[in-house]
Amino acid sequence: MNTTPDEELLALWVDDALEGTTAAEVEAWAASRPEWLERREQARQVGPLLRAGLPAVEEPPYAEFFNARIARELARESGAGAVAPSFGAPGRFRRWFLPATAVAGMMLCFWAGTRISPAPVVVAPDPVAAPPAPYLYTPEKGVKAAYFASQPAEAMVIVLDGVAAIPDSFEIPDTASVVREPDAATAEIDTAAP
Amino acid sequence: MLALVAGRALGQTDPGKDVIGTVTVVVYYATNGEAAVAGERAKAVTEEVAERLGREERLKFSKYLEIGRDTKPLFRSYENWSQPLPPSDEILLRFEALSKLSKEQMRLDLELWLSRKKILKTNAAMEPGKPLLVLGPEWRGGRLIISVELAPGRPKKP
Repeated sequence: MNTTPDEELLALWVDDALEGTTAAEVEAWAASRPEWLERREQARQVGPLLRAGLPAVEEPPYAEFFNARIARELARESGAGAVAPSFGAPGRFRRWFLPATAVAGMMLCFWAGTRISPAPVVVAPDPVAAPPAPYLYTPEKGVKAAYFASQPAEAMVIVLDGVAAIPDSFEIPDTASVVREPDAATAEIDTAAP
Repeated sequence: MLALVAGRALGQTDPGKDVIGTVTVVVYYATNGEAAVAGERAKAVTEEVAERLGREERLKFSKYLEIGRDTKPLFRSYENWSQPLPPSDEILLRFEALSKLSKEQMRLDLELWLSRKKILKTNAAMEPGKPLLVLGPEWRGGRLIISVELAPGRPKKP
C-alpha cells in the first residue's frame, strides 16, 4: 500500500477493528512508520483500562418512560394502531403516576409560593410627602427656637425660649381680633371654595 | 391721570403680583391663670381651637383667648407683612413664597418680629389646614401663641 489510508481506516486500525485484506494493507503501510505503531500500542494498553472502568451499556434514566413515549409516537405516525412496546408495558398505575405526581408537585409549589411573605421593603421617605424640618434662625441673643411636628394638634410647632416678655402695660388695640378683609389696595383675592 | 392709568396697567401686567394664596395670622393668649387680665377686647376662642391647642402638651393651657387676627395675600414674587394687632407693630410677620412643594404645599420664608426686633426666621413647609404654631413671649402671666396658616387662593379674574 503506497497511498496513505484515510483517517477512518487508520482509526479503525489503531483500535484493531480492521479485518481481512484491508487490515493487511494498512498493516503494511504502517510497518515503516514507527509513530503509528507506537500509537496503536498505546491504544492497546489504554483500551482494557477504559473498558474495565466504564460500563459497556449505559441505560438512560427513566428508559421505560421515554421508550414508551417513543413507541406511542411511532405507532401514531405510522397509523398502525396501538403498538405494544416490546420493553415492558407500564401498568395502569404507573401510566398515571408520573403525570399525577407532576401536577401534585406544581400545586405544592404554588401553595408554598402563596405562603411565603415577602421581606419588608424599606422605602426612602418621599421628599414631597415629608419635607425636611425647616431651618430656624434666631438673631436675638439668648433666644432659642425648637421645632417639632405635632401629630395631636395636626400642626407644626416652634417653641421660643428666652424671648423678652411683652410689657404688661401693653393693651390690646381696639382693632384686635376683628375679622378684616385683606387690603384691597394690595391685591384682590378670590379664595377657593371650601 | 396719565400716571394713574400707567400705574394700573403696570400692576396688571406684573405676574409677580399674582395672589397665590392667603396667609392668616392669629394671636392667642394662653394662660393657666385668670383670663380676664387680658382685657375686655380679648375674644373667646371656639371649642375646636381650644381642643386643638390643648392636644399638644407644650401648648396646653387651661384658657385660650384670641387677641388679634389678620389675613393678607401671598404674592407670587413679593413679600408681604401681616399686622395682627393694628395699629400696633408689637407683633409683625413678614412672609414670602419660596417654593411650591406640591399642589397645596408651599415653603414660605417667614420672619416673626416682636417689639420691632426680628426674633425668628424660618422656612416652614406650609399647607392648608396645618398651621404653624409659635409659642411666643410671655404677657400678663400667660404666653402668646402666634398661629400662621396658609390658605389656597388665586388672582381674581378681570
